Amino acid sequence: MATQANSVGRAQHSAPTFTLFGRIAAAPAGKIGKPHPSLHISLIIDDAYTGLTVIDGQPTFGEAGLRNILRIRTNIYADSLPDTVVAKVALGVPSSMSPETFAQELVKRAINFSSYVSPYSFPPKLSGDRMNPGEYNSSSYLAALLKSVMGYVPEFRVAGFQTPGWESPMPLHFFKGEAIR
Amino acid sequence: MKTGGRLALAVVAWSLSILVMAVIGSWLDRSVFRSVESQTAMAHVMEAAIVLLAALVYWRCVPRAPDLGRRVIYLAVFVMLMMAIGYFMIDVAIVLVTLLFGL
Repeated sequence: MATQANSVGRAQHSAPTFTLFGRIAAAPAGKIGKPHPSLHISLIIDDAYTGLTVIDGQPTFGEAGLRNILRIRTNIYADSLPDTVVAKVALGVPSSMSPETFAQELVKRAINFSSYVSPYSFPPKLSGDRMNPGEYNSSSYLAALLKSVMGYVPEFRVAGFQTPGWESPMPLHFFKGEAIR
Repeated sequence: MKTGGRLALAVVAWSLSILVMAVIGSWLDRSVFRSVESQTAMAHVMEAAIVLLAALVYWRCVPRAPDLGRRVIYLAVFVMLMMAIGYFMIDVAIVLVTLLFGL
C-alpha cells in the first residue's frame, strides 16, 4: 500500500501550507459608506504536525498600560481560524527554502517582533488606500514579516477591497528580536 | 426648550447612536453571528437605522417653514449637515471599535 493512501502517511508527507485571510477591518461599521472597505490580513500556517497557526498584527489598547496605547503588537494564536473571512489568497513558498523552514522562520520572526514600540496609525482620513510615509498599521506589520523571510512582499489584491499598509512594510529591524526602545 | 436647542440635542443624540450601534454591531459580529452574510446584513441595518433616525430628527425638530423655497433650503442644509456629521461619526466609530475589539 502506498504511504499516501493512509492518514499516517499523509501526515508524514504533508508540507505546511500558507494562506492570507482578509477580513473587513472594524466591521460592520467598517463597511458603512465605504465603496472599497479596508481589509485586515492574517497569515494562516496549516501544518499537519503543529496544527493551525494564525499570525497578524494588532493595535494595542490598554493591555500594556496607557503609555502603550495604539502601538503595533504581534498576535499569534493556534487551532482556530478567523471568522468572517472575505478573501483567501494562497501564499507560495520561496524557492530558497522548504515549507517547514518557511513556517519556522515566520513564527520565529513574529515572536521576535518588537511589540509595543512602533505607533499604530490609521490611513489618511481613515478611508485612504495608502498609508502616509513613515506610518504603519497591521498590514504594514504582516507585509514586513513576509518581507523579512521571503525578501519581498507578495502580491495581495482583492477586487472590491483595499489594503492600506500592504504597500508600506515596516522597517525590518523590528523583527530582529532586539530591544530598541 | 427652544427649537434650535432641541435640534442640537437631537443631532448630538443621533451622533452618539452611531457609536452605540457600531459597538453593539461589532460585539454581535464577533460573539454571536460570526458570518459574512450576517455582517453584511448588520451593516445594512445600521445604514437604514442611521437614515431613519436622521429622518425622525428632521420630522420632529426642524421647524416647518411657511414657504416652499425656505423649506427646500432647510432640508438641503439639514441633509448636508447630517451627512458631514454622520461620516465623521462613522470614522470615530471605526477607531472606537478598533480600540475596543481589535482588528
